[in-house]
Amino acid sequence: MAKASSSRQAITANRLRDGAVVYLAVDGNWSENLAQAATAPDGDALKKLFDRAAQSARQNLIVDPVAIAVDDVDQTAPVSFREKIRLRGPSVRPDLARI
Amino acid sequence: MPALDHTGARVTSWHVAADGEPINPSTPTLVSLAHLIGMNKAVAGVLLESDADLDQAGARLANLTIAGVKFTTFKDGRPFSIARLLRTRHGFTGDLRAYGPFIPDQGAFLVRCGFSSFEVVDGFDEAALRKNIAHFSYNYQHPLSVTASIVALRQANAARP
Amino acid sequence: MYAYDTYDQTFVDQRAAEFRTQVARRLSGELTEEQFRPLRLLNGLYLQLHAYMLRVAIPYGTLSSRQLQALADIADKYDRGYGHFTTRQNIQFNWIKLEEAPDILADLAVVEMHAIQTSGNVIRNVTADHFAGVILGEADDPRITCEIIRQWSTLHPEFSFLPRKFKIAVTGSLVDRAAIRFHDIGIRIRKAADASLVHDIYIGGGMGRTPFVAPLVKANLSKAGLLSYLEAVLRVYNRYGRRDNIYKARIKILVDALGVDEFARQVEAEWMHTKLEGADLPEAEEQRIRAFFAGPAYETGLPATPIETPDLRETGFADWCKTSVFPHRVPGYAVVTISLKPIGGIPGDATSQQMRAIADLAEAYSRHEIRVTHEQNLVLPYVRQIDLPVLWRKLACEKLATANVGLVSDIIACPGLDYCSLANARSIPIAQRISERFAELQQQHDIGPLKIKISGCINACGHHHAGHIGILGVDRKGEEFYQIMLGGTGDETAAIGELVGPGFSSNTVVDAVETIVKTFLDLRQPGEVFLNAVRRLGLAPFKERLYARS
Ligand code: SF4
Repeated sequence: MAKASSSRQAITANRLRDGAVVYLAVDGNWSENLAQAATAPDGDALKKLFDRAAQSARQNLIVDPVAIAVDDVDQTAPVSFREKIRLRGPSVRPDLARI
Repeated sequence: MPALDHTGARVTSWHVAADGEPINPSTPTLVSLAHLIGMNKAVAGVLLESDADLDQAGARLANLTIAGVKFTTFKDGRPFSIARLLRTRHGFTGDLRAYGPFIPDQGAFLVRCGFSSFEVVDGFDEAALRKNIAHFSYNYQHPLSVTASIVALRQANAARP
Repeated sequence: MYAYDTYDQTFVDQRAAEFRTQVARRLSGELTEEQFRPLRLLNGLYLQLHAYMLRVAIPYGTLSSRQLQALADIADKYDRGYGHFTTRQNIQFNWIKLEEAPDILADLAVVEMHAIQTSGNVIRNVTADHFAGVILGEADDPRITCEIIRQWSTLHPEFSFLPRKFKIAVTGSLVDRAAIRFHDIGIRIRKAADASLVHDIYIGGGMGRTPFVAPLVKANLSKAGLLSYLEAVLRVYNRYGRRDNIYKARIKILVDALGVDEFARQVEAEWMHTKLEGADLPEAEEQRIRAFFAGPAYETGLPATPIETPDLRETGFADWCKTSVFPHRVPGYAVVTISLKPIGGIPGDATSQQMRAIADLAEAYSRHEIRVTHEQNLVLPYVRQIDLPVLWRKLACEKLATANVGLVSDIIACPGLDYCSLANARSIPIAQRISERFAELQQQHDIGPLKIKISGCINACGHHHAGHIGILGVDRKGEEFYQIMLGGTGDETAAIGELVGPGFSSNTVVDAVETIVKTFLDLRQPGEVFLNAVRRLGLAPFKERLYARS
């Protein structure tokens, strides 16, 4: 199986008050929609995103921010299996799927 | 650095002496366990690490008027056992102070294990500590602190006519 | 069952109130996440992949109808209409909001429930034989000991920051349904020769990265000395258990490093002191707790078997009786296990509707009492045999009458990568596909008793080490892979399963399980069950068939 190639990263976290999966969006807010996520092509850009995420964590908006790889072609798709499940919801409950 | 008693009121900090440092008998001072064992003079108190072997100190612990036990992190719960051993097995009846990075939400646990005062860093949430100590009306375990355990209260109620 | 007095109730109410202020401090930013995490964990609140997860304690797996009703209400009001029963006899809700968690704890307190010590490095919810009090040949109802331990361990001031979590299980039977030898402490209550109750204490069992079957450390401990002995064990562990490496921090590593004899000696030396320190329960308090477990007033003169009507004979009632109905110690009664493992379903999940239905059925047919098994099923402990047919029909209406308890499709599975932030691979879909592969009930009955247990990572919440067939999900270069173990068991002949060989992809793991079962069917002796066949044959024939070059 061909591996998805990825050179871009986005930042994900869980929202503090309800635990929802969120992504750092281009406008600096946190969105439940990966399509709105800001993606970084390199380390410097990623660091900038991280600084913003750390600020959000200090403001008690989100917890545990991490960088995730997103697919080069389809930037609304995470590369790792774990992140796919976080994005969509439990694979065994399609009725509860987020997207 | 402030110190607090078990009600959360401010009290004076004790001096912690480096090994070999001359002890001023008029200042409340803690020394290390090794130092205590090596000394033949009476000394005010000892500051125990969380892995202290209390048996080494023999009967000396009972004669001390102050002692401290040091947390390495709040997650390392060994000081709770050390405190209980000091109180129940080594006859220590003086003021027992917690040192190191314990958290306000451990206040009641500390008091119930026999701690009677706290050395805290600036910015420590003293109000949260006071609240925590006073929060529960009852506890299940046989306590070292003053309140009766739930078991004892049940016994007392059952004995009432 | 146990009922709170004002002390218990005040305590749990105050605990819920305390958590409300802690959550408020977190939401306002007074507490950082680092400071808050241990506090929320001590109240059973995890942050998982999709949301917060709340693990509610079901002490020794005993629930009242009213409590199960309340859990159903919580599922609807704060979650998405379902809950997951776990191998710790607890229930987990998967879609919890932090800001609502204090309300849930308050709702739980109303029905004498809580989430205290369902997480963290503390003495966890004490588990018990799910047939406690109703099975033949029991020396004592283990739940009495469990309740005593529950109270003693609740917010214990000395043992709330242990090196690692600490799990205790208790049985009063020689047949072990509580997997006591896979616990940090396993307790077997026996009747001594003079008819007094004594405890055999097994210490240092566990699963995870380094599985151990617990050795017997103390035999014939008198009932009166139990708490002081436990206090001695916990003190030795608290002082000398390793804290430098999370994988070596459980008590099993300490017992193994010191050797059983030296460990026992240290505990014994400590016990000489703790005995005198007042931890042991006064006889009157033991009697007070014991009285709650006297069981219901049984009817006498009930017919000993259900009345068989022709329609029952045809519709699978007999199959259900064979797997789900167990003998009760009182004539005319039966113990009924409700399978939460429908073919293709999610092991241990129940909808709020199912919870309410079971609560109602327990109300009508089981003296308002339900048990949760560590195998993720539920039990109705006090069913009159004459009520079995109607109970079966009503269970079937809720899809709760699958006749597979103890069979190949009665699979334990942890939440795995579908929910759990620690997971390496999914567990649930594997369980679903295996149960679909063996969907044919007659075939399952033909295969006989077979326990499959699946974990999504080395933490072993799915007890894979103790599965007749154990399956462990691992991550291999970003792909889900599954290792298979054979010959494990959590019963009185406790053994750790042995790795059969290289792992299988998620595409091939179900075929591999089928190959193992077929190999067994080909090689078994008349009447032989799977576990015994593996013990007799060893792994060789299974390996041969699994890894034969095609
Ligand atoms: S075994 Fe691992 S994946 Fe499964 S529930 Fe436990 S921690 Fe999560």
